[in-house]
Amino acid sequence: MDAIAVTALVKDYGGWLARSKKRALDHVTLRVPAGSAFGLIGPNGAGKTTLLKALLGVIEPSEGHVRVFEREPRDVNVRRRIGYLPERLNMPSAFTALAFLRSVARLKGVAQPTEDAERQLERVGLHAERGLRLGTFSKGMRQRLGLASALLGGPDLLVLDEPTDGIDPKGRADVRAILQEERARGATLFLNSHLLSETERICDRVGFLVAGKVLREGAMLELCGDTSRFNLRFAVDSQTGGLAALGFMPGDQAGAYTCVGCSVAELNSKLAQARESGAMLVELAPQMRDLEAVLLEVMEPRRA
Amino acid sequence: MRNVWFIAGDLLQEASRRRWLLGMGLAITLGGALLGFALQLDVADGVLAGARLFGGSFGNDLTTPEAALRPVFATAATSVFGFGLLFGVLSCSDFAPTLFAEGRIEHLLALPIRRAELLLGVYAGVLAIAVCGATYAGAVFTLLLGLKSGVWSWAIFAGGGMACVAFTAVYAVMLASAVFVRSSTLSAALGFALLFAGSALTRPELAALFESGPHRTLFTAAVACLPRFWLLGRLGTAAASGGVLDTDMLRATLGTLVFGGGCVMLAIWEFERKDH
Repeated sequence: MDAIAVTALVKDYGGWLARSKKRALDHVTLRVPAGSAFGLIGPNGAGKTTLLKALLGVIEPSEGHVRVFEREPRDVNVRRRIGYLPERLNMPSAFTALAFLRSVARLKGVAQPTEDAERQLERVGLHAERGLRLGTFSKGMRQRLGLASALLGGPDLLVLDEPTDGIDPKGRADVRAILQEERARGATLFLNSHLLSETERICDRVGFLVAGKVLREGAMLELCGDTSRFNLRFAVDSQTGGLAALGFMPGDQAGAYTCVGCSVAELNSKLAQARESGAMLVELAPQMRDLEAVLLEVMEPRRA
Repeated sequence: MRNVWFIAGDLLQEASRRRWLLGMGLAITLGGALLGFALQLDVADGVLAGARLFGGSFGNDLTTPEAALRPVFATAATSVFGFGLLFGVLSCSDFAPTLFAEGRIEHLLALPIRRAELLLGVYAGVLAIAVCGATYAGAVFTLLLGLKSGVWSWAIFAGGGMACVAFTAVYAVMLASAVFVRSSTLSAALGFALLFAGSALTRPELAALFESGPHRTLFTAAVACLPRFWLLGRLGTAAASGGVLDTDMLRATLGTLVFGGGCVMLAIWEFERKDH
């Protein structure tokens, strides 16, 4: 089942009084399978936050459809299954951390709001600060608290807009660990982050949104993997002398080789010859480009 | 419906932690207390009594203390009505705009609550603040006058009650304006404008200033849908001083509630279709 299904979504801004309309989303079609971790990537002003808001029913599409768990996102029962962290969560500064979470938990219909609020505060490392007013919180602490509010009630879908923004490296690792726990629990992640390295570490699917259009979308391996470049590692104590003659280029580390410009069939043929000559394969993986390189590649035609 | 009370409760909690709001309430209380204890208010007690304020009589020297003090209670009720409304507009103008701020509204709208519930929660919360404020002001005035005169009357609460009725319309306009344009200044300005319009423009004496004919008809039509706050104030005063309640006053009360309800409906209609 798809957790999110977006079909030909268009969002225009500017009412009848506006001189010109701005198209924020242009026939976006997207599918996020339940249980996956999807990363939305794109430059500033690409329409990422607009897409997130459309998923939550905060804005109405001008055209097209959005379905979350096969229903309209404005359906209260659907939103009960969603945990959302906005990019800049504006919290009532007079509230304490615990009071804020309790309030959100009550509105989410959580059975034991105080207990769940305490538990999530513990998870994001803010339990000691639960009695402090939010006005005294730093940006990173607010971000963690926002994540805790998204986690309340054990949602099936987590929609997170820049979840690690303003968080220190240790905190980022903590957030990653929490998101991995949520995935292990079966939750679907929909992540919008400028930190591509975070997306690479957390997500298994990505979509590139540029100027309101999804230019590429799919599994991380499909998008970043190169089917003509492979990294190999052979056992150091095996016969690796003849590998260079077969076309394997030695890498920096002992036993590491690269096979460039060969098809899967050619690779298997070369590997068979290498084994015959006594080399023992330990590791084989397609070479992965980082997301930044793929993003630049995706954006290149537009720049031109 | 449960969510409406949750949101209203959160708003009350937020209001109770606003230092400037509490400070303003305290300052008004202290001011009222100073003024109250400085008042020269004497009641010559007996089977028949008279009352003097600032050394002057009310012209009803020989009567019961309750009757003698009616003008004082009426003035107190009018003060609670007028100042209560002004204080309400000033202190509540930023609740809705703060809630609709970027980063907060999308978080709230992503929660499993209906948009109408959110808006009604804010409305109910602010009206609860108004009721608390009116009750507090009524209690302070009752205490002051009771201590000064020895006459205890709940009549002053009538002024506070009518201020609350008027505030249902005033805040409905403020809420609707905040939904259309997120600005506490505009919200307060429209609140004050409605107060002025409902207190001055809707008086029949004003319509009489226009020449009879299309001008007067046009003016009368323009102000026809506005709530009659001056009649509500008079109702509060009449209730406080044992005066006669006429049907116009009751009609004005009903009209104010209908006007407020209409504005809330308009706010909900816009809020339901608005992108945030």
